[in-house]
Amino acid sequence: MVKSTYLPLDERTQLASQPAIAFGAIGLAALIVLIGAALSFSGGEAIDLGEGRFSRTSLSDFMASYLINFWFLLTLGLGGLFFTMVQHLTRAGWSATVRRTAEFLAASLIPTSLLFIPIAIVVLMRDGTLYPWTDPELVAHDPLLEWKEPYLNVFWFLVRAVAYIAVWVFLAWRFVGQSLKQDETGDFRITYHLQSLAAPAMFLFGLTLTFAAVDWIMTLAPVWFSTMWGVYLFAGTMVSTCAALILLVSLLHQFGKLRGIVNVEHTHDLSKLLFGFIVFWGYIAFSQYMLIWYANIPEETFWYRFRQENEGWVTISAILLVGHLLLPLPLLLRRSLRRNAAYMTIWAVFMLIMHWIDLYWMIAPQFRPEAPYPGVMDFALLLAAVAYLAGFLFFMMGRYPLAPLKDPRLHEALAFKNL
Amino acid sequence: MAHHAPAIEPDRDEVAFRGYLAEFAGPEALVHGAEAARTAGRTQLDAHVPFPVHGLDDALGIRPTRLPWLVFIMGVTGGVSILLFQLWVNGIDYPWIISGKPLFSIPANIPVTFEVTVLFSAFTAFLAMLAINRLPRLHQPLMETAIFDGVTSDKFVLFIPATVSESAPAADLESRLRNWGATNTEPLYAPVRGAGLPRNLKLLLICLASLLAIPPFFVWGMRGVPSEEPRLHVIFDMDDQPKYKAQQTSVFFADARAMRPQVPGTVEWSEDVGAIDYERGLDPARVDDTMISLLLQPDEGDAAPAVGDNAAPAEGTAPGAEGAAPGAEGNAPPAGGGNPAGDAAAEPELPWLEDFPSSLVIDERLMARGRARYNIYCAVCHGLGGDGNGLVSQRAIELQQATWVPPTSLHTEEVVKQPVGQIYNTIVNGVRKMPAYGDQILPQDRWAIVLYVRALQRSRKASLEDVPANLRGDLEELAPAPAPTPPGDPPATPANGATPQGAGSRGAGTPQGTGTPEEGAPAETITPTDPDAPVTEAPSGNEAAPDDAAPTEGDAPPAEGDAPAIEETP
Repeated sequence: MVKSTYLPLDERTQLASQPAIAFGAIGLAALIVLIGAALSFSGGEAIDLGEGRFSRTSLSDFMASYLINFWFLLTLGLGGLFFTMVQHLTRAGWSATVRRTAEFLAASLIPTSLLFIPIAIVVLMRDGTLYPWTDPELVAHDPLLEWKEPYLNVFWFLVRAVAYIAVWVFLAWRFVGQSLKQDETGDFRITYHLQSLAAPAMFLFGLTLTFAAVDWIMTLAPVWFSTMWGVYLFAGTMVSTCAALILLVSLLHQFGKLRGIVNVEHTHDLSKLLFGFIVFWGYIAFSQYMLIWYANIPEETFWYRFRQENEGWVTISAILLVGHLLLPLPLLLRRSLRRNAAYMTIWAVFMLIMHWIDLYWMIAPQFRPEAPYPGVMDFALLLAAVAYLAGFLFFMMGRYPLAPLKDPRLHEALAFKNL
Repeated sequence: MAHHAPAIEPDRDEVAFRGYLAEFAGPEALVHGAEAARTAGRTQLDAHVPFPVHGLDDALGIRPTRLPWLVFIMGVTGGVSILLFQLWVNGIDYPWIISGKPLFSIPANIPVTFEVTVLFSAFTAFLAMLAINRLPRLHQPLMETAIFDGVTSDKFVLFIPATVSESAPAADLESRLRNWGATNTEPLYAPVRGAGLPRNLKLLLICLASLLAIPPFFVWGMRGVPSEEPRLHVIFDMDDQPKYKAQQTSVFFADARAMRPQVPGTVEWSEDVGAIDYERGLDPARVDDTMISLLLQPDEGDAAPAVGDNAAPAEGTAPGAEGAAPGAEGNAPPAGGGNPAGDAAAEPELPWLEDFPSSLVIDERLMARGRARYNIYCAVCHGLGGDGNGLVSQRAIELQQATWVPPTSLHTEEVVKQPVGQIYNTIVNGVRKMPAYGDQILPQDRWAIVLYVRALQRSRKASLEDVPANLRGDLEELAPAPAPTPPGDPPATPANGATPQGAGSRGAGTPQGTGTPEEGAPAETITPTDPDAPVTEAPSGNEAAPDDAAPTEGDAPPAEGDAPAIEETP
């Protein structure tokens, strides 16, 4: 048997635990959300948008911001989970050292899932505040919505939501928990166990992500549909996750952590993945657009048409096209650039912003057709989301080793070189 | 093993020393050896290993490959060219609207652009890699060395090329290789001149190339050779068309008609439903409700003129074309020589419009339009001159089609006497075997055709006074030639008269007979036949005459044999 390489728990793999900062950040996030919610509740004024088919209140405006930032967190968690699983599934050796960073992101799924509760409450109000189809009045007058009612009803929606969250929490708990356990026992069977779990888990992941994307975002425009929606969201998820991993590794390096453990070779690989998923995102986004554009069926085109012909939203769409695809495509093409950690860190931040705009572009137009640019509430809740995630990651990093200390493939990752 | 005499030496003209192959114990030893060799100033090193070895590229001092740049440039070239190609093909050279999309639209062109970019990149990557590595080679001297045998399974071999000054294996280099960690060494010899192809292979290739040259000779030899055989029929997709043609029967419907009458209550679509003169060719002053309801009957079920069952849809809702056809047919009993008259006599006479509708602007443009439409829609059967000798008819007679009823000459008395409204109605609804053209020709064009038909008819009875004064001179100039032809027998004239000079004019500008080879000439060529004929052209402009006048004559010659048959029929 090959002699295993173990990493010691030293200054490179350990972050000083400072729960006060971690919980302070989470508390700040909670405060922002609460103040925002209180403000929006007080100014609840119903506006009938007629063709837009939903009544907009100050609360629904708030919930739009909430949903965008909830998904921003959710995609990072789901991406971390996918990254972890796919490394096990492919028996990847190179990634053993960066996998822990992804596992921290995956672990965030557990608390992030709780953030679905406000959405569930708003849905239970059954007045179309967030999802138009929750308004029984509207459904009764729309044959299409009536026809979709067996799927799009509050009870079944919540049952599904619980199922998705259960799957994610279970997978995150399993993959992260077992990996942390291996740090202590060094039991290589854990690796085999996770490897065999990864295959069925991948099916569950694909299904839940697709259905959650459809349920939680696509039904904001309940008569619209795109069969590529789940893949589109997945593509964005992976762009943001690869970017987040590059950024986190870079931040940890700044504090002298993981130096020599995660090196330029790993950053290079993460950058390759980031580049690959950026192209994939462009491929999927264009395919989705082109099919709808070419078929030219009004019940599908209205969704894009609004984003394309409205004076303000077309700007957002253009920013997305350029920033999420056309700009990074040539600027991340060259190998030597992808091996430049500082350069890639800038791009990581940029792509995270782009991912947020992508989510904004998906969600916000359904609520504010006439107000294309993000408002104070959007930024406030983005700040809350970042504070929450930073607090959570800081907490986890203070508590657990920054790299899997006794992973059986550690020696592969440490010796890894891009040929 | 030191000076292992190369096996190739005896049977090659001349071999030269190319360098040393050195075997190492493992990947680390190889990397170490390569580094040592480079430190000692050796360059152009190459290594042969069973799997990729970390750090070997650096140890060998291999420069970063140029391949990515080539791939990038060719990828961009491919993408840009195909984008321009699509712009040229669909946007410029053959503008064709597909699915209502713009002629050049980026979204529609992206998939092809993407694919071609990938294609160019992939081919460049593959072919340029081969080219840069100078592959494939006919002969690789490495393969003939003993040391190279296990290189794909377990050997780690370094190749150190000889420098210019080293023309033969040297003992000191060998010992240095041993010092650098080599466990085994072997000098490499290669032919000075590259080995040629094996003789048999050469022969085979020559034979194949000669065989390949034969098909082009066949193609070349057959160029321009007429053939009686029908063309090779490879794809049969249009041969069996499960469709009904006009007037066919169908077992599917109870009344056995494949052509379905319009559903009662069908609302007519028309540009101008109201104007009964313009739309239907009827005289509004003499039309009463009874006639309208009779004419617009949606179904011929009640053929008895029991008239106007008031439940019948009102004027605007009635189907024009097919529904009215039976009624219209009944109204032309004299023309329908071969038509079983039946109840036709019982049908009342319809008040056809005697003069062109007042809303119609009659000018040269309308006449020109009428001629163009007539030549498109009518001339195939009725002939360009209206004599009922169109190409379709000629062909049908030639093939002795039993059911073929030759088209009526437009110069017969019945047709000449018909009011314009009735001719109009015939265009819309057809008559006897003539199908309805109402759904292909718009009202304005129908009237244009009627106008042109009138002009054709008049051309047979016109006198010199009808010709504009400034053109009469041309006619008189030509007058002597056709003297023998007796004028005033319209149906016979074109067939008889066309023959002599028609042949002349058909001969693509042959001066024979016509005398005037210039542009306007074809128009005048008619003159001999019938001095009055060119009058037709006068209102529509002389310069355009070749369009119709000449072809009219042109049609005649092939019809020669059939012409009598046509004339007899009416």
